[in-house]
Amino acid sequence: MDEPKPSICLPKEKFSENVVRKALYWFSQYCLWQLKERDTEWLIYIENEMVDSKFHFDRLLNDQLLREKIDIQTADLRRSIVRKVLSGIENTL
Amino acid sequence: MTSKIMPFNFERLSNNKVFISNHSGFFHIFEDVSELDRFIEGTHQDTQDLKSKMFCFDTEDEQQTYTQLLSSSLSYKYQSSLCAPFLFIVVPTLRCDHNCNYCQVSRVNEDAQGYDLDRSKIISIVNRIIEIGYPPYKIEFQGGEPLLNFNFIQDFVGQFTSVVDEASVEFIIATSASLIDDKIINWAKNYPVSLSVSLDGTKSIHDRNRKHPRNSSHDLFQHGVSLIKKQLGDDKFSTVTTLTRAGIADPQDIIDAHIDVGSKDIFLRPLSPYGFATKRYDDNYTVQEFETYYEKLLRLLIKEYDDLGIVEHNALIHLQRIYNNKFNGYVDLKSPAGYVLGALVFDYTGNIFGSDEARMLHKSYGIKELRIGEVETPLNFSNNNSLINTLASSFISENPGCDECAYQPYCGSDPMHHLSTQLDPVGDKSLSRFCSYQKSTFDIIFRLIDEKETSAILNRWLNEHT
Repeated sequence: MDEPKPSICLPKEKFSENVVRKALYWFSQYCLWQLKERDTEWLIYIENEMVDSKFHFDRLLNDQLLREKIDIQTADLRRSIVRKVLSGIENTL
Repeated sequence: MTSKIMPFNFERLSNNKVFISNHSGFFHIFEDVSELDRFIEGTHQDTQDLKSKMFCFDTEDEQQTYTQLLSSSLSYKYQSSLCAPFLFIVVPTLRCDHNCNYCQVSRVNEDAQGYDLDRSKIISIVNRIIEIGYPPYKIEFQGGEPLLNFNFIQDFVGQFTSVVDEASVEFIIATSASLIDDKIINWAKNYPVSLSVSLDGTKSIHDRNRKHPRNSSHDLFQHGVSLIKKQLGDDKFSTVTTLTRAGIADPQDIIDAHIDVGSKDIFLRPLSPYGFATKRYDDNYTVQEFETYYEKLLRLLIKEYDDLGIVEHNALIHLQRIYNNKFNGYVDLKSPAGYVLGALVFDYTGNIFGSDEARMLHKSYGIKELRIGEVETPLNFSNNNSLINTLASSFISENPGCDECAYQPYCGSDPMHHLSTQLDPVGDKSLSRFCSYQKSTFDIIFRLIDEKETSAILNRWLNEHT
């Protein structure tokens, strides 16, 4: 029996696992999916694919890429803010 | 000089603009994703306004200052959320003279036996409230139809006001108004009591949802409300509207229903997944239908009814969450969750729950961990691991799905909703109707804020009601 063909293939060099999984998290509201991988690609299998499924996924993926860009620049600052919050709460307690 | 970005989250609005927010709750709206991209890349030309809201910085000093300010703001938000309950719900009876098709509490018939809260428990309940809460107390009687056990309410209010100054307490009776009569009105004149009455629409819609065995529910509502307004005053009466399939076709109906009774305050809520409503929850209306209805309703009120001063309070609560960092007064929109930290419920059984929804889930599914105590015994939260775990996992900044959401500074956690619909208090937000409702509501409100004319009226709603 032939292996089913993935609906979407994404190159790993362009899309991190985090980006792909976060996009898929929100993709659940549109359809069922399964994520597999090869050496250089993420393979996404979509069940009950609709006409606009890939458009939704593209947009979600694009948004996660933007979030990854923001995170690369601001992760340290975010951690710094949270550390200060926790130490402030600790002092109060 | 190229500005560097501070941490923020973003969401696309349904008009293709992009909304961003930060830990302080400051927000900004970009025209489109490419403007957002330029801002991230550091090539955005006009960053003055963005800097003033701490979305970017030019110097090391600014970065440090903004980091400190953002953390102070977030600290303040958390600490003001970690508070004792401010709303105490007392359920004198599960009996009801109505049989509403979306009833959340799985009510019983008005002549059923064994569903009333015994008056012998009043002193214990009063003691529990005074132990846990602090003035001003807000005590709400719910049911069933609480006025079916009016004797209990009379005794309770009498007992509570004998130990607490009347100026420090507000009693609200949530009722269909079907049983309002001169005896109840004359009693209510002597105490700080107001009535919250269900109104689902004009007569045909109201009666389609809210079934009374002998009369038109709407006729009973009108009679009861007329007595309340004439003898107690307009400020002693408010409405709550549950939106169902019957009402979603035309938002004009609920406006007309309120004008008919001289009310300027609409408080709309969507269906909840508890009690009898569980069976009809998913097939009632979609979130998209709700969003279309709700935006039409708000635009109608803003455009056509501004001169009458009619306000929609669900929108007002969301506005307060947006503009007031201190506002934590709505149990359903708190992070950590308002479960126990916002409300306690004293059930007709004498059991105590952390929210009305927990009471309903306990009744429907027998989840024993949701019972956090009983009225005769002082409460002990620190030994309740289930409660602690539920609250610890309700900080939305740490929840998958919520952690990257731009509405996070204003939104809240609803563990009972997710327990009811997904059997997990955190839930998968991509499948969460609570999340979809909140995102839709914020989407509409921020788009209205982004329009000069509608924004001015929403500001007036805020100023006149806070």
